[in-house]
Amino acid sequence: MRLCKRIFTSIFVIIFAVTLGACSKSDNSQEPQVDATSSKEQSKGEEVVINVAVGSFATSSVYSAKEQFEQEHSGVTINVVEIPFGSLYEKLCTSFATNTEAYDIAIYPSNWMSEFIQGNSIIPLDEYLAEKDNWDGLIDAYYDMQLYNDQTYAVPLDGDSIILYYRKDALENEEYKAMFKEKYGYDLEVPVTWDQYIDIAEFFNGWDWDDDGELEYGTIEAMAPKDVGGYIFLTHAITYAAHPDYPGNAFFDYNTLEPEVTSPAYKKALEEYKEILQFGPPNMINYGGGDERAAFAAGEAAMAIDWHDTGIMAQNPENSKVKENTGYALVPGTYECWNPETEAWDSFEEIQYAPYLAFSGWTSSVTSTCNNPQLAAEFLDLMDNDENSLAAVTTDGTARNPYRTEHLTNAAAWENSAIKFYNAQEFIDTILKSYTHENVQLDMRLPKAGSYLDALDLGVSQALSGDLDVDHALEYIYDSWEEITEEQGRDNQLQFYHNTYSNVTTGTGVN
Amino acid sequence: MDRKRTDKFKHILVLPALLIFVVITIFPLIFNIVLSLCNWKLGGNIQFVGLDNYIYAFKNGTFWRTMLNTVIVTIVAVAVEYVVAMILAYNINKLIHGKKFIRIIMLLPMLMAPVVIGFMWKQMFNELYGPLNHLLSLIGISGIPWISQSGWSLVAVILVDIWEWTPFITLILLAGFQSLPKEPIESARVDGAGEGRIFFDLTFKMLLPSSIVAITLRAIETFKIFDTVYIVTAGGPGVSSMSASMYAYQVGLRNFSLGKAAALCVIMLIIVLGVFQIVTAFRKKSSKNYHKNDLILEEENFSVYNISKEAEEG
Repeated sequence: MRLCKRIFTSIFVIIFAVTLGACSKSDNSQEPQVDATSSKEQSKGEEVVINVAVGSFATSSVYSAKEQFEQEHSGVTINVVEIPFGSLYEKLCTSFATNTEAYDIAIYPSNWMSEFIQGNSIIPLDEYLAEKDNWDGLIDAYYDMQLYNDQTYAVPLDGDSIILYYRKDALENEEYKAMFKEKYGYDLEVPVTWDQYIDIAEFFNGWDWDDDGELEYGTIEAMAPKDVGGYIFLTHAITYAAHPDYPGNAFFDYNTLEPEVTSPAYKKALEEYKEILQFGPPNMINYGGGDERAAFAAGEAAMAIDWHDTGIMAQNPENSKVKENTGYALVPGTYECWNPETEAWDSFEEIQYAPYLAFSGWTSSVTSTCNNPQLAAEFLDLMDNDENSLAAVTTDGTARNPYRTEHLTNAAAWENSAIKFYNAQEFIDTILKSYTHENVQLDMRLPKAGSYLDALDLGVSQALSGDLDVDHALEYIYDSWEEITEEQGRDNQLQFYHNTYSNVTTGTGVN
Repeated sequence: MDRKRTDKFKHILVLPALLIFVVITIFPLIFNIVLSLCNWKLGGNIQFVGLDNYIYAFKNGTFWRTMLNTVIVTIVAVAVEYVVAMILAYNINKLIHGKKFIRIIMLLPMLMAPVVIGFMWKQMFNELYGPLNHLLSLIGISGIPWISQSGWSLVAVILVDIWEWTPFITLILLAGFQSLPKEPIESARVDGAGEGRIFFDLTFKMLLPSSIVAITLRAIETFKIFDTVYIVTAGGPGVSSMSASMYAYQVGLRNFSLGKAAALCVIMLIIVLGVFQIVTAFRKKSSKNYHKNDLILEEENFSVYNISKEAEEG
């Protein structure tokens, strides 16, 4: 028994020492490979497999491109690795951290890009895509977001902005307009401020205003923890925090990276966000993005705040009761913005909008462990070509939304698509307006963006549940953001934060 | 000399099994402990950070809040499961027919995938369309915010755990009931003891070893609860129903702070080991008392036997 104990203890100590030694010596960061051999040469006479890591609900357009690519390149197999979205970050990070050659292409949310560049996990694509001829067709903001230090690291596959959806049969009903005016003292119209939005939500909440025999609600926003609630809250907060004269201060102080979350702009937004909770379905606090979309399409609410997915789902006759009754608008704005320099509210005569490119779309990169970067880059080019991208964004269920100018000017393509979009012009005009607005706000684009958003989500959801009051919830977020910044290195984070804004040729650019 | 050689040979024979044990169990554990002292950044850099991750864990209010949730769920769920299981096992044991059928039915919740259970209960708890609130409305209770209000969300998690795991304890106790010696119970009954007295003074005490096994296993498992919480409430609203495992998952795999998550897991492991030690000590103590009581009982029986014998002879 004693001998056993001795052996066991010795093994334990040896393994501990060896593991500790191995970990402390481990520095296997890898330089990106450069291999610009043409794809034709590579595919001659040899079997090549390109592994594509993609979130499981965004795979349909990858499979379509796979068929085309394999037909054009004999000997090449595109292996689509479907990963549940909740595990995508973990799988990619694990693969990158351990330098396994698991994936050649990663398709991921655009705001993870900074972290992957920092870790040398993805490579610049300029030399592989020198002949790509449709960069010009991209919406400026979506082209700019693929750059870091003037090098192109990704090919965008998706566009994102959050817009307002409303029911025309509610907001344009003459009888309701009269009732609304009597109650609130002003005309019922599509809301242009968050105050109006709250009034309208309150007015339409809890009664059967579309005569379908069921109760309807004022508005629906995704508020569930660990879903997309953080983005929806930021849509509110950015309206007040993104002062048009002080770009780059929506999330952090542009010069010091001190979080802006404890500013009165965020406080006002969080108080409003809590108030809105009462004007939606009783369990809206648990509504994720999917629940919100399905509920609006099912005719449960007068308004909704979401990405373009709600608009597309509302057009699918299989799921929607509101196909012909859906209206679109920019999310409400404000007449007052928080001035980060004077630390006071500035008033404006004109309404100030700050459309938010939340999530900033799916983007795609070639990993640094890829053995055939030329082929991989060509596959991405195929997914993003004019024809394939238009087909993808006009099809329900592809998880790809418009991001090229043609997607937003060709209403006929939407009307002739599988779901026969009704009133497509209004939809694409609203999206185009949000993308090209002079005060458009990009998403947080610095390493650990996901961690910043997770901390925000945790704080906001604790405020919604009543576990923390608004001030404490915002302080919690502030502390968490500071901790992440310190851990990553403030200078390093500042470098990426500045890159976001210095590259942008539209909207928030600090030129 | 020969004996020594035989001993060595025995140890050599054990070595492959020991090696497999080390690779499968000990290495990941040690790796986790080492990782808890490091910061692993993307790109392969692992830096030794000493006790920083533990300091982070001890200062982290959210972690301790989730730990409190876990402790509440573990204590309440396991206690209720044990009481309900005891009642069920006691009654099932008395049945003459249908024991096998009931056993099979009881296995069903345990055979279902946790994800399926999660989705099923999420629908059950739906405030608007869920059957649970509909049934409650029939008896005048309406609009319970099962998963949308702090407090209730923890109740929801506990209910799902009770539903899923009560049968497990029932089966262990049922096996315990069936292995009990009948003689003491029959003699107590002959002596005129009531069912309640028999249960509390004899059956319950004799079932203590089975009870401790069931409670220990369930307490350890419930302490690690993840899947149900993840699907039914996602830990919300806020962190009101988040378990410590789920928080560690969030820190480690959603934020890729593997060192911090490893430190959280090591703390959880130490707590579980502590609880296990307490339970083991309690089991030893109760086992000692049990044997001591046995001896006293035997002595009492012997003296009663002698007295009655003397009386008969007299």
